[in-house]
Amino acid sequence: MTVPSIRHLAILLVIPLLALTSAQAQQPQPPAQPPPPEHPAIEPAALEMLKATSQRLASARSMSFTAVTIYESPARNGQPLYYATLSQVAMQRPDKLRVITPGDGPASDFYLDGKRMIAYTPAANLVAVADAPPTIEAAIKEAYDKAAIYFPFTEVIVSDPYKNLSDGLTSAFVVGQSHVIGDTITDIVAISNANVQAEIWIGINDGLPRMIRAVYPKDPTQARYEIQFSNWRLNPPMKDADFTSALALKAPRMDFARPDAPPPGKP
Amino acid sequence: MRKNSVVLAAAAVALVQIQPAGAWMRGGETYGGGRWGAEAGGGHWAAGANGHYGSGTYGTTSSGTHYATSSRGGTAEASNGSWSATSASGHTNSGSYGTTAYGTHYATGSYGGAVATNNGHWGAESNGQYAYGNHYTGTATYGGAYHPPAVVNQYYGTGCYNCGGWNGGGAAVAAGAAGLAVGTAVGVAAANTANANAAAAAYAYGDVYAALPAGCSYSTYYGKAYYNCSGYWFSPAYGANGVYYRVVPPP
Repeated sequence: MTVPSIRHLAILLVIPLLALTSAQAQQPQPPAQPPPPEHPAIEPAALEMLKATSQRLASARSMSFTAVTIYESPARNGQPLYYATLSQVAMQRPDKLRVITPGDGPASDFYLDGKRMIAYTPAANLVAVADAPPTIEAAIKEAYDKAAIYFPFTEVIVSDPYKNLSDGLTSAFVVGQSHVIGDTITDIVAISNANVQAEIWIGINDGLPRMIRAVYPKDPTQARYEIQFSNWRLNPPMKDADFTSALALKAPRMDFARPDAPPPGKP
Repeated sequence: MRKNSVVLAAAAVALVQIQPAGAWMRGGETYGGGRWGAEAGGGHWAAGANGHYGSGTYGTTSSGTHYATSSRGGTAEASNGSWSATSASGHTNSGSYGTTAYGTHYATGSYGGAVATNNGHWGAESNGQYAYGNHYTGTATYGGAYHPPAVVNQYYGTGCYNCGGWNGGGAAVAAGAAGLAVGTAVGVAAANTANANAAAAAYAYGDVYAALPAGCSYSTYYGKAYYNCSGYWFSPAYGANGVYYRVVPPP
């Protein structure tokens, strides 16, 4: 018996492969699949999730939660620095809001008592007091116009969160679920409009937001903003005294003023 | 080219009152629905605020002159440290521009006005009226989420110089001249080099600080709080989610 050479073995192995390949080539090709239907940039499922959480928030007559806001601000060398503030938020529709911010940075207390907006800084023992419009939304606008005061959780306390979240959307889609955010399971929805790209984590059991991250694509610094929500309470009992501070109102006065406004003239 | 950018940025600052969004998803517009912003690209620019808009072209000629025109007939050009401009109504102005050893970009006008920028801060003066701000690069419609709150520079207690933010120390602030020259539709402004350098030293009028220096005394004048800090006067105010202190003239 002759021992086959390596060359013979190679031929024996290659021939079946060639035959197999040839047979496959001769099989009729399946008809070309039609292209998949164009996927909508705004997925109805994503909007439904936004609607559900918005309705949950809008239907609450009062609410309280903890907000940890993290944002970037460039250092002088351009390096993005992270800053974080913690705020204990309480509100009662239509015209009362309390935001207690112990830090980071100087502590401050902000109140809307239905008639006035009050900002108190305990360390400096100074208070700013001004008349406020009769709704939370109008008062927030007034605070921004007058003093560049901005609450990143505005979206969740306005009377119509869905309108705020959905106006001008160019994209909305469901990313999936997370098991690591907010100590619960959350649906993740990504939304964007002409200027903002945001991602929202919404608890699947209670429909309440746990985290929002946002970036502004046209921002030269590409800074990122994040707010984490916890300790949600909807419709907790509240009283008018919860939205003012006798201690703050006794402090020496300062003005509300935008830091980017021209300096005041001499009195 | 960088200098040209500065001139254009200053022009945009003069034209547009930047108003960041009030809420994250409202980037690029105000609560009242009035849009703001300015953009430039492909040799065209556009800017607008509160319903007023302008647009035109810009570029660099073969001889290296940077120019900008407006659709209403205004023109401006700059080269080798000098600029000139003509408004649509025929008013003219000219001056110089450049960058100081401190890194402050400036422009001066023949009528004495001034504008300067440094580290994201800008300052301008006209007829004794001052305007200050930061984010002069905000010539795009990014609708920044919000200003860095006053926590910036106070993060580590007494302040962090290199952190940037609202801290006015080192920011360029123009002062001392009279008559801001916004002579053209493209809003070319002016600046004062010496004053900008001086302002970069410390406690310049109009600068904003998140904390007071040591040894300040508190007093009130006409019902308003002031702090006298070794001869520098600070006025406290609440804004951008915290208290801040602005350097002001003696009350």
